[in-house]
Amino acid sequence: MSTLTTREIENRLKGTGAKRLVVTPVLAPKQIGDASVDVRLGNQFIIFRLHTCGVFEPYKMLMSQLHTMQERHVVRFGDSFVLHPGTLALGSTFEYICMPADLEAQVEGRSSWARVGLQVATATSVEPGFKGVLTLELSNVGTIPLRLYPGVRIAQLFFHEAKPPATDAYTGQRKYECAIGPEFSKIRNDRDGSVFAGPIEE
Amino acid sequence: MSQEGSSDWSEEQWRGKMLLRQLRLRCTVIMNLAQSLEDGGGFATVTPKALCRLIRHTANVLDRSLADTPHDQLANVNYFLCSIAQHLRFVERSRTVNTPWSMIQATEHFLRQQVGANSRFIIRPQWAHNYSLTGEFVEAYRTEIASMAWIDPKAWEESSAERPVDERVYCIAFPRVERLNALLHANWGHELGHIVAARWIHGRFGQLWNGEEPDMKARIRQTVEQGLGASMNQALFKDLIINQYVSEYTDSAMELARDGLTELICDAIGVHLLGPSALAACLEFSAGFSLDENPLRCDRYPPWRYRLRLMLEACQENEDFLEEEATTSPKAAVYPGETVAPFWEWLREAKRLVTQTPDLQMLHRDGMDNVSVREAYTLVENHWRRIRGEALDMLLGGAKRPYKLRERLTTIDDLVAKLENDIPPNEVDTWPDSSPAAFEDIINAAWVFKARKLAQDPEWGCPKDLERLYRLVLKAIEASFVHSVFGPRLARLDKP
Repeated sequence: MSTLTTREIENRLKGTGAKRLVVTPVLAPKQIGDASVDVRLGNQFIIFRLHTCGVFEPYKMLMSQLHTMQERHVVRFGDSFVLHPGTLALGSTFEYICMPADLEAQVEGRSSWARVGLQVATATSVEPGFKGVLTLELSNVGTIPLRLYPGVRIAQLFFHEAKPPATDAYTGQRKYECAIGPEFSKIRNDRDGSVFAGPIEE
Repeated sequence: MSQEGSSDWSEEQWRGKMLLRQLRLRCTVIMNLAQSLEDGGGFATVTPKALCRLIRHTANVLDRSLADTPHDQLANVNYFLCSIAQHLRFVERSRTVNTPWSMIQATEHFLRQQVGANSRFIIRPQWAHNYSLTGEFVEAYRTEIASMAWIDPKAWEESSAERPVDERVYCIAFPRVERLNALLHANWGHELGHIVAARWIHGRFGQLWNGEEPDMKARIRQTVEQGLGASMNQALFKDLIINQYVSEYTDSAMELARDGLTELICDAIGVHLLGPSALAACLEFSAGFSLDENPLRCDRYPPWRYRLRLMLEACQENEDFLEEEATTSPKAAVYPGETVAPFWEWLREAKRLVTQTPDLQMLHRDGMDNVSVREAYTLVENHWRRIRGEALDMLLGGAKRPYKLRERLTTIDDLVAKLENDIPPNEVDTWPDSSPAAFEDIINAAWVFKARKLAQDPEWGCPKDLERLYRLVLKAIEASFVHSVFGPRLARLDKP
């Protein structure tokens, strides 16, 4: 699995047709690195309403119950969002991504942020054909609160060729499609999960 | 118990005792509420906070002057305080959770470009299925304070960067259930038009009316005399009765003309700023109503068909819709072109609607019961082109040129192609030659895309399809705004 380097990434971004990679908007040329594209932090966050949360029951909770566990928070560009130690917030990339069928990507946090305790993404793979902004699982594993400004470069995307190209890449039946902000967990839609979420009847 | 007759009792004293304490508490509560709303944040722009500060400041000035307030004026202070307290609801409702937040910053930026950087806009939902504009708040507060002789106006005018006393603050409302419908929000162009329309009505309508009134009165008199017929010939107070009718109908005609012109100017501003997308939004919105309602029965609004006709004429004037060109004009090969053609067909639907004229027949029907409507719309029709021109001239310099879809075809093609691929239409062209798309282009491209999809696939248009379109458009408006604001700043960093 080869990693795309600058020229290949640029050719994909400039290209047309099935092989075109879309990362929009790229606000500054410096976002394109030697083997990656820097992505910026969007301005919408999902935080947990701890005071109303019981236990997250992935296969038993109704959608309405899931909604009561979370709170969407929008931060104006120019303002900030404070992530406290030991907390998790879902954020998203500012850039909207369209992956061609022959590429997959890995999301990695930037080391500058990691050094102050910010973990950016744990579910790091972006599948061929994905369209939307990427949800980022932001967690502060450090000891000091972190002030996050929408628009700052927060993570990097590394692109790899998928061979052979996915034939049914994101045909519209996936869980997280054309998102424009962070998406809450839809693990409830995993039908196989419920198989394991109950006693064995013999 | 009653002491009404005694010399040491008066209603004013009673009011003073009862109301003064209440007002002191009310001022404090309003200040606290404004402060807590401001501190709570969650707004897409700084404007709601600015209104909070204005309200807090105004309540504070009133509170400090309560001791000097004459008792017979306490009820007026009470009324004013109740009004500004109600304005806090605009702030509360404008929190991002209630609004199409991605487009609020960009929309306010766009609106300010048209009427001046000192104008600010709060955008909030309302449960009524309508769009509206409220305000301007700063001038209204200033006028109210100035009427209170015991308050030194300087105490209120004390300007600081934190209080928007040198600015204009308006509130635009949209239907709550249409929150995500960015396409329908093209109606915000119409709402902005209310600011221009108010300026025109304030500055020009009186002169127009004074010039028309004598002849109009004569025609109304003639109609009244015909309507009352021979039965009045022997009536004792014939002239008095006729004069009463003439006066009443003339007043009514004045109100109908004034309010009708207001709406028509707003429509004209909408089309001027946002091109055919404003007509499309109005067309879709009007489908839920009778097109030919008499203005006397619908709050003096002009009939929808009448409004659509004038909007379509404006599109024709901008050459965005010329029906004959489909078959005869050599330009047809270029415009509407393959991408815009289905949208152009939408406009043709509007043309079909307005070719029928039951609205005109209704407006110009003779008879005493309709004479005010007939005269109001005769005035409108005799002067409309000049009025529209004068109103458009009141826009800021850069906004005086109309948006012409015809001139934006390449851009629209590009943006529609992006939507076809589930990409937000926030940029024109592709990286590294891309540039942020204009607000007007995004909205028009969205309408073109919608018309195109509906023409291609009759099954398209389910809530899921529309929601996806709205999300892409909302993202595009936000991304293009951020790109146009922050992109140049980032570019400056790279310069040596």
